[in-house]
Amino acid sequence: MLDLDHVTFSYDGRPALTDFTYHFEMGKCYCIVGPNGCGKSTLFRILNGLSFPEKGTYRVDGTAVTERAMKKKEFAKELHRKVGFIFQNAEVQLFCRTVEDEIAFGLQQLALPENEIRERTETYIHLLGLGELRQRAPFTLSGGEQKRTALAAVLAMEPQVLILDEPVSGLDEDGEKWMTDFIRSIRGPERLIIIATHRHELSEAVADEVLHMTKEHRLLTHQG
Amino acid sequence: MIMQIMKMISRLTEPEKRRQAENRVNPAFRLCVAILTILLCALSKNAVFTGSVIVVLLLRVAFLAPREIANVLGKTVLPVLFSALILLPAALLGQPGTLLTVTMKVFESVLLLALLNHSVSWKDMSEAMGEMHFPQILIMTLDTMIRFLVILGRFMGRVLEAVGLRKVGKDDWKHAGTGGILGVTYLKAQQMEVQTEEAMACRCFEGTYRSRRKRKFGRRDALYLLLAPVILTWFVYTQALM
Repeated sequence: MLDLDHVTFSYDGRPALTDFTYHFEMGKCYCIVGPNGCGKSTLFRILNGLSFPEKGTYRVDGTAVTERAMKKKEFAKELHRKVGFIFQNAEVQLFCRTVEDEIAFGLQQLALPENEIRERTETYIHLLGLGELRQRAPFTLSGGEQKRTALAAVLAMEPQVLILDEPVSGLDEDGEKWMTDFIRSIRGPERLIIIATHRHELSEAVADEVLHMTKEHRLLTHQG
Repeated sequence: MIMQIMKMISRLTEPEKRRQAENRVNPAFRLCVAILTILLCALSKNAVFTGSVIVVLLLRVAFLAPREIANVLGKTVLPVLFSALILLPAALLGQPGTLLTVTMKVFESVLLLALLNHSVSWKDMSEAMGEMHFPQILIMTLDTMIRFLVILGRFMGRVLEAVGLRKVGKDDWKHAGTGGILGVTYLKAQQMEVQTEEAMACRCFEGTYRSRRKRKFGRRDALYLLLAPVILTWFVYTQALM
């Protein structure tokens, strides 16, 4: 599904990802662990087409994701429809005036029929337990509620790949448990999940494979 | 009959009940009537129309709780003083009427908007603008601006707290510190702007930004809309008085 072949990336000459090669398979859940600044977030930016490899190639279903390809609207839209991304800080990801609008936003951009938008919005509002918050402004919600809203907004677009950057950071014990259970519940043969985390409890509970990254921004090992 | 009248009065005087009743009126209609009133006041050639609108608005303000009255009227003080100051030379040069008319118009406009702002949340106002077919990008910009103001306000508050905890015994931090806080907030704003843009791209943003909420046209809306012809008729009548 997602192929990274000798991908290297740096910020103004400072290396962020070095010679990263890996093949992410559909139906699996991967956890990426490693120290701060090892390149997890950069990797996620590349996977989402927000940054592009300086060296090496990144392919989705065999198609190379390049800066030039992403300039084509249809290509970018297709990639973002396939790959959903939950930011570490969900607050910046929520920009609509209500939770309900937030969930419907992506669906409106996909130009889905109105009744489908309504159905999916309702489904994910209930799935994520956001019924009572539906008319609240996202920036007035707590950290956990914002994470749930961001999840609902991304999942409503029904992406094949779900990427979560530190999904349990800033959550209390109950929130962590809820998130862990939720990630387990959405795993399936039709979905690829990639998570960056520092929590071993989370990776042990949900991951099929754990990838370790080093301070040198390299993929060290992986364990099944 | 008496009971019904008392019920009506209690609805008017109890802030919560009044607010609930007001909220049932579509904010788009309230915005339309407000814009129409401001426009007519600007066009009116004598003080009768503006004066009568001010009387009605002040009557409406009188039903608010004391703190709300102070809040609403407080917003009018600065613009009224400012316009009076600007027009003072006209009064000194022998045209006191101009000072009075323009100041009254400013007071009416600001008071009307303050009342609208007091009773309609920014979310409803933004939805109302959408229903009135304002460009989606403009509404989105306004919503984003409000969101940024809230988030950056919180951020600045936290920075100020942190600075407050570290400034023990010294006062010279104020000069260097203020610039630093503003600089950090500016950088944070830039960061947020980029992240928001990326988040929107990740959700396939193509320029569509509209609310899901659909309001039904109700009896209260119809009654409220009747205000428009009433105001128009009163305007025409008062202009003929000159």
